[in-house]
Amino acid sequence: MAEFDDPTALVQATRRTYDEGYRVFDSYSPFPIHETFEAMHIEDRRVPLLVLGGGIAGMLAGLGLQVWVSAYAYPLNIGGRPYLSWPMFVPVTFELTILFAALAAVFGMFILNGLPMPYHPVFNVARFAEHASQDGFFLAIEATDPKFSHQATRAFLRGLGAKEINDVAH
Amino acid sequence: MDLKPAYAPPPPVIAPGHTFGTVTEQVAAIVLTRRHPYSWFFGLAIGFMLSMVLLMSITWLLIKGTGIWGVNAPVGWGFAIINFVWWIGIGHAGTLISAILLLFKQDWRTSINRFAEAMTLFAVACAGIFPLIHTGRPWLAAYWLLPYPNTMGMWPQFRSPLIWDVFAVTTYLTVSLLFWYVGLVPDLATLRDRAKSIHLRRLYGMLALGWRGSARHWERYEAAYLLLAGLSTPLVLSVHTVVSFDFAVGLIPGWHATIFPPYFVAGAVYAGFAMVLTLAIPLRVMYGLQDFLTIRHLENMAKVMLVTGLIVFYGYIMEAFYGWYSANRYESYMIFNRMTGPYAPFYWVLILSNGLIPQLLWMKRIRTTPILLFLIAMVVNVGMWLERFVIVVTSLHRDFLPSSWGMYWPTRWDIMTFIGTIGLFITLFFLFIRVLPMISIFEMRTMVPGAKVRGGKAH
Amino acid sequence: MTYGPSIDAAAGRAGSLSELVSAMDAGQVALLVICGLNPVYSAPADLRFAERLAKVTTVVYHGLHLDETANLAHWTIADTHSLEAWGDVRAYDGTVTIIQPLIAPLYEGRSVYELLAAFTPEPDRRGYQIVKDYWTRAFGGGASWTIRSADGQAYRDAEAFWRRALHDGFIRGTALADGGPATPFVPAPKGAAAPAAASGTTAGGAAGGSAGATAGSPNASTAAAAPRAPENTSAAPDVPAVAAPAAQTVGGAPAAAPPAVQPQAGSTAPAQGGLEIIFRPDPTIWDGRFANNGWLQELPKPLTKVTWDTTAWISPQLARERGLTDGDVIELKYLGNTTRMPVFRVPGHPAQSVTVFLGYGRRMAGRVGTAAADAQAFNANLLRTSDAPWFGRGLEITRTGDRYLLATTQEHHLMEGRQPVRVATLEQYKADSRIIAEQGHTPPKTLTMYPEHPYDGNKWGMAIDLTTCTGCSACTIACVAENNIPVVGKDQVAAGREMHWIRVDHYFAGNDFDTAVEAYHQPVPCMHCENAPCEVVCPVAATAHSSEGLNDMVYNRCVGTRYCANNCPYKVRRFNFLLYSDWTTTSLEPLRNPDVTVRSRGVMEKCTYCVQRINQGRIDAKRENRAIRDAEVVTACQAVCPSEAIVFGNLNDPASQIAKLQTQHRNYGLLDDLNTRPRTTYLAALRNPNPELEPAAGHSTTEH
Repeated sequence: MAEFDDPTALVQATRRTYDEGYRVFDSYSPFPIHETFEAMHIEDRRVPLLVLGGGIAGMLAGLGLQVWVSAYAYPLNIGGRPYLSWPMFVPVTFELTILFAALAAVFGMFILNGLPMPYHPVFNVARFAEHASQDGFFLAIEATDPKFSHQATRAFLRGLGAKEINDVAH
Repeated sequence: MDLKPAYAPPPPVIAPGHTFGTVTEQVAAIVLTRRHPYSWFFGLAIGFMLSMVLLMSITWLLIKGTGIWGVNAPVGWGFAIINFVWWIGIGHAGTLISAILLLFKQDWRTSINRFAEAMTLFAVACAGIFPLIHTGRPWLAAYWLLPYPNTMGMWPQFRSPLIWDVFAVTTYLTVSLLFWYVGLVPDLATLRDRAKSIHLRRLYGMLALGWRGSARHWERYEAAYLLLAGLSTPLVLSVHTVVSFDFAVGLIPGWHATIFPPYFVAGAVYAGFAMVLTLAIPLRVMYGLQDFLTIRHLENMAKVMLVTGLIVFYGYIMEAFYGWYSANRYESYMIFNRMTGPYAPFYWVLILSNGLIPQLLWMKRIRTTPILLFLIAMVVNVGMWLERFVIVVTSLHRDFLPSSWGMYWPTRWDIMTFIGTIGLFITLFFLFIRVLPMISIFEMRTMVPGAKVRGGKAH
Repeated sequence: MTYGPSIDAAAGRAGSLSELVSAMDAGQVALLVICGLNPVYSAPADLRFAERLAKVTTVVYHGLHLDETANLAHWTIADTHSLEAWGDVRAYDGTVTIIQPLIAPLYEGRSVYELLAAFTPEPDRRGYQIVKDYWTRAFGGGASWTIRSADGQAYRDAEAFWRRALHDGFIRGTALADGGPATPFVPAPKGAAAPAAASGTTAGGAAGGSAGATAGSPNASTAAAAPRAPENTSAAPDVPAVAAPAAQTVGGAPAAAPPAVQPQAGSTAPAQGGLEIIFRPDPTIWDGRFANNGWLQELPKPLTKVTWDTTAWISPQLARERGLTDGDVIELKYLGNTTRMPVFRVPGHPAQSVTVFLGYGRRMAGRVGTAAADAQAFNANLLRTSDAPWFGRGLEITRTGDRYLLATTQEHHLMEGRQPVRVATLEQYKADSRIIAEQGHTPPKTLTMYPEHPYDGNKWGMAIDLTTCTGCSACTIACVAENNIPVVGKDQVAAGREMHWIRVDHYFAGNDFDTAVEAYHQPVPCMHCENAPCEVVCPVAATAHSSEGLNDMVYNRCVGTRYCANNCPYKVRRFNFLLYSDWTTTSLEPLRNPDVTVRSRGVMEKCTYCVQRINQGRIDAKRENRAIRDAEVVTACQAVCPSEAIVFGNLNDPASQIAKLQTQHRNYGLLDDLNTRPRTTYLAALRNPNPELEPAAGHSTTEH
């Protein structure tokens, strides 16, 4: 794990790490830095798709429930209106679309992120635990990466201009 | 001679001289280390006392019935529904700030969105009390308005705007809560890492879900956050539209009008920003947050208030116009009665507080003076309550058949219940500022100049 | 309505109240039996009845309630209600009917027959025996009382006649038009003990009957005269006229009547100045006898819609002169008597008169009827004199500056340019019958894009004729009785929460309160709209439309959001804001109709077209394998309406009365421009003014 001073350094380091061929690594920052996403070539399309799916599910659920209840399960003559008074079903359908889409967004995002995950090896680095969520910027290359070699990787990280380098115990 | 530049760049959203560290420190310290000002204890005490008044009022209501309030025939809805709409309207500003200003890439939302979203949640919580307790049998209304399979084979009646309300407000509460919580997660991680006591660390740690700031996580997080903002935008428009349908679907003059959805939504934003200002201005003094809640923020909020106030004023003018233009006896009497009938004082105070006084905001001097802004915001809060009073009561008290005309006057229980919900709101809000960061720390970090990544792409 | 010869209820009556009071004052009365009257409260003030009552050695009170008179009596004897006692009655046309009780007496009372029997040689006879004995003797009573059966034959024997009379409910052949006798039957005395009382009617015919039919004096001709049922004849003959003033008490020849009690000075010569005062019985509680009846106290008075209180009526002109408005308390001074009343302005009232109503200000009238402390002065009897008990001159009124809360159910009596009541003169209607339809705008049926629900079975509808409606409000009370509607009390009525399912709206014609004269009454039950706005907004489907067109209210599903009431343009829905039904008073349990739910708090209720009666009709018809006949199902309001203004029935039956009425050009729906498609419609009021009173007969009385 390497620590950096500011976002610019982190982004440059990230780019070079990717160019070097490492794939199983991650950069850590106390706020999202879009350049790192580009540098790491990560773009998870699953989140938007889940949201779309959730929205469609919500729409079908809302419409389906109302149509079934009003025309099939227990049709009632309400004010002389037709059983399938669809304009009046729109608000509930709309709300359920949004609700399901939002639930899909939130839970989808957390699940895809693997959260909650109270323990992770990176927390074993004292500097990380104290600064990663506040004002520190870190880059960690994992041992499971095919290119990983303890000394070579360490040297590489030093070459990136890191402020400090730590081994991550786990 | 010194010429001013034709375009002056806007003042920064954060006072110069801050770093990631100082931003974190200043906001997190409020929660973790700083001693709370006496005003906090005082505020919480007031809130708690008024919450007890609320508890007492609701208890008596459940024991005796809605007859303890002033509702009658023909005015079947009074303070309860007025308060419901007032609170929900207030909630809309938080979502607008969080979601819509995000989509419009307005940086100045950053320091206000956390507590504004919290305000939304607490306002919706206060609002949600009323549709439940105003019913004659709340113990049944609690679940019969929900679609669940049962032995009666009965379902809610989906054509009713009150059912639309159930879905809209529930969705709004859920999505706002989730949106707020998602935004909180990185800050909870900050608090976890800063907290000294092991118990606090565990507590914040559980709530933070183990967040570690991984870029892979941030990528999905940003995607979800943006999508939530995109979903919340039509949501906030739809919620107050659905609330306006409570009236617009009714057929009495004064209710049955197509202007209600945009008029209500604008009114909600208006009322909400007034409440945000009402909270922000004392808070920045109490906790010394002037660096983050700058004059620019206050001014921008004042501008939003001015715009939405103009839309609302347009709504009032339209009501008068279509009272005449419709050539419908009932409609024209409705507006005539509002202006000259027994509730005319309420109507004219409304025009004054919502229409005329906020025009002072055209003047930059007023927009940038916090104490004046606070006073105008309070006036708007009152005015927006009066607007709902005028809509609900004056339309109901005189409708089609003159034989049914009557009057509505609130009882002490009406007033106590309302003040009680204000107390609940204050209590929740003061607890919030005690235990959670009232400004979004991680977003504020992006406002620090050092957050911008220098240099172009490497390749 | 037809008029025929009637029985003179006052025939043979002995003495007047004034004479009795004189005798009491002179100490000549040793025993006074008061049956079913409350003279301490209701006797005119100048007679000072309570004071004189103290001079009577023994006072016996026979009545239903411990009222003001019972309070001063030495003995009180509980009466029976007329529905729990045997009795007899002669109708205005002479027909005799036997009153049969519905239930055994609830509280061990004795009917007036049984009371008076105590003064006879057979004191222990019960009501049944008394009545049967009398009529079986009348049956064989002689030429003037020959009673024949329907086919003209004589009855086999008295027993057969008696059974026939009980079965039929009336005695055939006793109507005057059928040759029935004009005077009551007087049986031969059973021994010399009792002097034949010339007035066989001492026990009967008092107080002019409840209807106040006798002109002029409403004073009881004898203070001991009996009760509500006019002309109870059977008790009379064996009973000496105990109540005849002075006859009994001085044992023997009637003493010379003591000089009549001098009325208050000055009343003999009518005063020249001052206002005129008019005394009227109250429209709902009459002379005060119904003060403890919550239904009648809460029934709005027909023109003012005031409940629970009396008001002194004045014209708007007089009000303006004196600076008075509704609810101001005035002091009334008349012939040396003083009392207070809240005023009410009534357009069309003569400008120099004040009308006051009897019956209020009672001090001992039970839980419901006893007036509150500040209202005990509102007693018109305190002003009344026995020589001119119905009107007089010389009234002075002064503003006291006090205000009194009046609970009214309708605050606004002008139509404000709308036309809930459509009116035309007969001339106008005959010239062009479309004049009624043109006063509104009915949307065409083709207006809707949506398919309509079919109503092929019974299609219930109601028509209310505004020409014949008199505004008597009997429909309101009938509905209360039929549907277990609770009484809510004055404070709740003042708060706007009265529970009447059918109310009678009252409007003055024109737009000027001061000059309005024409008044219209409009009973408003639920319209049972086919496009009911109330149904659409109920979140739990507690109100839905039946296949026969009824707007059903499902009490057990209602959660009480009151959205339906807000959305009803007719405001016919009533909400139980508090628990109004009395769960605890046991005597009220038999009151209720077991076919109708008793509603608890938090639930909405409204007119159901008497669905319980419709259902009973459906069951009966199904049992007999036939359709429901026209006029078989009669709603409570329809049943009781004296002018038959309300008609209910099946619109799908072309021969039904309702179907014919709703095709009349007079027929219109209230607020039908809202496209609610009400099933309850109105037949417009047609006036036929005397051309000498309204020369411009072509001029419409309605405002556009």
